[in-house]
Amino acid sequence: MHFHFQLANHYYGGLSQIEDIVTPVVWGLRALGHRVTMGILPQLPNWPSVVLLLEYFAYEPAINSFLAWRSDTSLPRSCVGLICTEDLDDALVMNNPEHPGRRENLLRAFPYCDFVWPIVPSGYDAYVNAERLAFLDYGYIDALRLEGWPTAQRDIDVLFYGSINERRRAVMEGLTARGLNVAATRGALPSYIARNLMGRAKLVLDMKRADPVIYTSPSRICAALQQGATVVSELFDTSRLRFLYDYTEACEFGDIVERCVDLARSPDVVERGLAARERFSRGT
Amino acid sequence: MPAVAARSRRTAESGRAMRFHFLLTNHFRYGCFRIEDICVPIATGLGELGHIVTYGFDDDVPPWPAVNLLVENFNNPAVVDQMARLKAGPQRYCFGVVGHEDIADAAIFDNPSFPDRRRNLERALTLADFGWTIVPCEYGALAGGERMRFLEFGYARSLRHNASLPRDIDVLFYGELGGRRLPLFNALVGRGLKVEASFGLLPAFFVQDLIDRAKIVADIGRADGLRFLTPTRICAALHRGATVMSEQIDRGPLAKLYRYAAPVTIDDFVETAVAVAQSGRAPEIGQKARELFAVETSMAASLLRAMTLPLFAELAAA
Repeated sequence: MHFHFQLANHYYGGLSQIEDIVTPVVWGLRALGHRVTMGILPQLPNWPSVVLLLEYFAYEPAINSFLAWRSDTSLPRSCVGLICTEDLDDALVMNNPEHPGRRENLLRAFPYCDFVWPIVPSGYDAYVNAERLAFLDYGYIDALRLEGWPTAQRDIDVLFYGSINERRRAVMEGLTARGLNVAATRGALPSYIARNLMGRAKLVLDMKRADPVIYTSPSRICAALQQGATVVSELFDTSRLRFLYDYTEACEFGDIVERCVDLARSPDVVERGLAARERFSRGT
Repeated sequence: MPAVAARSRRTAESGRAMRFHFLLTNHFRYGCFRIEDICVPIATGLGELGHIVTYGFDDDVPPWPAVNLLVENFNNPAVVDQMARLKAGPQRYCFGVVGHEDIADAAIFDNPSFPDRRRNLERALTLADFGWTIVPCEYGALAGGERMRFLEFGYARSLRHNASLPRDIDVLFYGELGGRRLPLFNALVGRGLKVEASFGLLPAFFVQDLIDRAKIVADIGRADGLRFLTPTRICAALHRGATVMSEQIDRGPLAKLYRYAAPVTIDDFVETAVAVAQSGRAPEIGQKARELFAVETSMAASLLRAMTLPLFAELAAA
């Protein structure tokens, strides 16, 4: 089959932040023998090609052009799948004044999609019929496997994967106060830098960005595991995504600093991540 | 990206491995995407020589004997001010400036949107221990310019990528479309070709996919009157086995890269692109060009030539 990612709704800055979401889907489909293309130009392939969209309809022109295209009965048949990465009930995302209309426009889009693939088990079944809804579990992909640095050269003790906000900064300061060398990917670094930082790190820290968040980030955990990183995950998710903790050194928020200190000083800190990747490659 | 991490394994075996640290504060955040074509080949070449390459921002400035590499665009003077402070302090630091623009190009250095770009570059050169320029322009006329060396971009085996995707894009415009390339883009579309563009800001995972699908990568100058071709663009496409079609504008040392590209002028580009795209020969042309590029050029060897200053002997011994 031919899958075409139409990513114009993320152009420009947003494209820099979705690599960890898009590339596993692209290479997972290719591993199954499908043809996958990506584009931002308006020409879209007709049925039987599948146009894949990644949810982000914060702005009216994006949703309006999508609805107009799907409503135009004079056009040849098309097929659209929508990948949803966010918790529908996360107010920080869906009711954020910087992204006005994001939730409302997503709900408007659902009826015009042939299928929906959520990657977090939020309440999508309340809006999308079961026959058009399939959960997409992230897992191991050989094409995205990367190697980190030799143990002796790992000069970063803890790498924060994501942006630094007040919640994460408190942990960062706790780690620094314990004498660890801490760095951060800052949320929007190109992969040539982020992968370099990850390769140098003994530990990759996966923390939720705010207290109300209830789902972990499968794309972040999987990106780190693909590189054989030893991931310290904040333990809070009780959903089906919880299986990802099996491949991390998961612990409660209050224990993160001590856990990182212990692990960073452990002689097998790098080997733990490599072993976790092997389990991840066999189990997912 | 995998290459950067994998190469570092070899540095453990080399007693004379140096650390090169790209200090990219002045490009954070979206500018970092635009300089990937500059940083990654240099990082890859250094890695193939057994050196360690790291990236950092802000106060992450390792002291001597690490080499801090600053990629030019100092319109905001903060990082140059930081260089000056650190150079004046008690601890020794080493800084290198990577130039990537023609210093005589008024669109870059006399651009009212970046009024301090040239002035701060000149300041940075006086503070830097050395510099590498990927376009061979007249740095020697500037104070500190005598420490600049031409860094010729070439083949790095770690960047070689054998595309497995069907080449279903006829022509890819690599870079911003702008007023000079857009008519060519439209003309090709009018001739029935499938044409795409990287628009200058698409992230690498996206651009690399487009290159792998392209029969032809168009290397057309962004404006009339440019003196230099863009080595980063040609090299990125060649490493992925794409056929490069280059506008012949450069008569200097960089023109050597035309050996690996199909020559065109702005006037015959459309006809030539249509003919090559429809000939079915584009993949073969691209593969042959890459093999020639691999035999005749080397990013690692170029870096060695650019490290002939006594400073590097001192660094290697440190």
